[in-house]
Amino acid sequence: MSEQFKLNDQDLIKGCVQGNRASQEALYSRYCRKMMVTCQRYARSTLEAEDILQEGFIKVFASIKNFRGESKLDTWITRIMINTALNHQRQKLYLLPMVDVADVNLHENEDMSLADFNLAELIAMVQSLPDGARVVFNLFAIEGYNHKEIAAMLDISEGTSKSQYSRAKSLLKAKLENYSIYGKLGEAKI
Amino acid sequence: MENSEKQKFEENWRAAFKDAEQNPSDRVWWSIDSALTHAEGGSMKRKIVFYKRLAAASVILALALAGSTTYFMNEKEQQLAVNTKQALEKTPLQNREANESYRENPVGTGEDDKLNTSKPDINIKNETSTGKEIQAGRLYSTNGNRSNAGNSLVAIIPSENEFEPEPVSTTTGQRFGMYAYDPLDEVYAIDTRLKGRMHEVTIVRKLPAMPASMMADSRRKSETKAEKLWAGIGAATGSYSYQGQGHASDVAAFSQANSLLNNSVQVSSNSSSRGSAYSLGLNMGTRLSDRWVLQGGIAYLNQSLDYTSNFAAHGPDNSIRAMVAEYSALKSDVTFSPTTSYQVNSVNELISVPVQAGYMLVNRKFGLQVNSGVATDMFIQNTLSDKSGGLKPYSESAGSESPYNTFSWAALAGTEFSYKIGRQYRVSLAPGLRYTLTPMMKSDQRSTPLMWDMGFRFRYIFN
Repeated sequence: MSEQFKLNDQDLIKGCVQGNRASQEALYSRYCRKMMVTCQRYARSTLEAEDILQEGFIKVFASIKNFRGESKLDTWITRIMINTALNHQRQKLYLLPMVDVADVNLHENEDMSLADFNLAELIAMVQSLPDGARVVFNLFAIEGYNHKEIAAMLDISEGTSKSQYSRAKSLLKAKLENYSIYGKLGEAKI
Repeated sequence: MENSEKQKFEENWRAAFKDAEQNPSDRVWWSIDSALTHAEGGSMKRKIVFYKRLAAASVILALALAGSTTYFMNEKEQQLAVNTKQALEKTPLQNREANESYRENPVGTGEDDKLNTSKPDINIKNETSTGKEIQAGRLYSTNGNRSNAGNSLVAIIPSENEFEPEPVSTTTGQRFGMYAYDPLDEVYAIDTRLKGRMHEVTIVRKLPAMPASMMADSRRKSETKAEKLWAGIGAATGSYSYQGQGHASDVAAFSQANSLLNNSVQVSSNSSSRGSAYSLGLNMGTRLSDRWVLQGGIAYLNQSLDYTSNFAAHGPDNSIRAMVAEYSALKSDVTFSPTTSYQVNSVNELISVPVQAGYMLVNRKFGLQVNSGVATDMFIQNTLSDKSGGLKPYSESAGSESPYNTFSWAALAGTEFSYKIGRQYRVSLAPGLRYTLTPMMKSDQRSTPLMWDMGFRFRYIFN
């Protein structure tokens, strides 16, 4: 086992603050896989996710001297990745302003399990959502923000956040059902 | 009910992505690495600009000092030097003859040049110190086609207010009446009045044969021209700041690396943040241009650092030896055991081959030089010794099994204040710093010590 993996987060942080490239690489190696999934959830494609990941880690190394240890390191990095992803999406969100959509009330089974789907399929489902709905879904369902916080973060109304989430949810349910019926994600019909 | 179902939907998705990991492509790290390198390059450029400005400011300051010094020296040299001269007994007739002689031969030499009164009708009564009278006179400058290497004036100073000063020009050459604006004149006038006698003084004005700045330049060249190649010996001592492992984190690293230890016993070693170092070396240098020099050499380097450790190593001969945590990761074949805390002295010995470029800010008898360069350090050995003497020392030399890298690089920067003794020797004081660029230890990427030292060098200059 490489010596780098013996170092704890504090050691890595110290090394990164000093600009030690080995520590930076070790920190990246430790968290890049988890952060890649986060970036993929917000991006439309793997390529875009990698761009967000790259930009996010550069921000991490640039601002790690300001990390005070009040939260866990991975939580802090995740927050930077989300902010970076939102900045990436913001231009698109402005171009396609989110408006309230009719609350889709599909009466499918809420208890549908995701255990039958692998990670790549789930990521593909999320990535296929419209930009606004995808961002709100990630912030609400995965990150755990409430609609008021999301509205403030995206500079939209709370109602818009709720309706976008409702849309995302109904679309995902439809995709899951279609997948169960047709067996292939690519043939899912919404 | 509906709320709980909704929550379940979100929980399912959250659980699906919790701890999920996906490998990004290698290009991501390459891009990050490249961006970081670029950023560091920018930072380095800013530093270089700073040092360039610092160098420029130093040069301007040096030029200003040199300029002002030259100016004041030049002023001093142009002051009239007073040289008492033998008194002359000259009658008006003789004066006229002298003037005639000068008209005929304006580049004349000897006393004729020094005596030039242009008022032949003045009755001059001379009296030397031996009792002869001199009467009435004034200062006149001869300014013909003579060499500007020197210029003499004759002063015949009145004892009383016997005549008014009046500048006069002659047809043979331009002459200047100096009486009105020569401060020395007044001094001598007072003296002569007190004595009530006339004295003749010759005021010698030495004019520079060439501009003073050129004289200074030629002096500098003559003093330093011969310093094209030199060799010397040097020694330095200073402080050694170590930034490797050696604190609380060692405990975790140690425990992971040595399953032989009982996990309930915490063992560690803590290093001081600062140690001492000294070096001894031979060096050579050559001048590349007027200001730039290249220096190199070889030096023995000794770096000493104190630790507090609470464990020891059992050697193959059942001896118990001093040990620190830095070794633990690479010493799986050595058995460790906890001890009471004791002081360990860790000494690194290296051979260093430095190469430095130097820029001479001041290049005179006194020299000021800034140096910068790199050194290749070859690790010889490290010795851990128990300061109380209870445990045997533990030594590690270079090699594949060693926790130390055989080679490492260090950046060097420093200043050199030197003084030339005689024609072939120069001594200098050289404060400097050495920062290890590549880690000294294989297991610790941060083992890049910083060393400040003050060196003394003795240089022999080959002619």
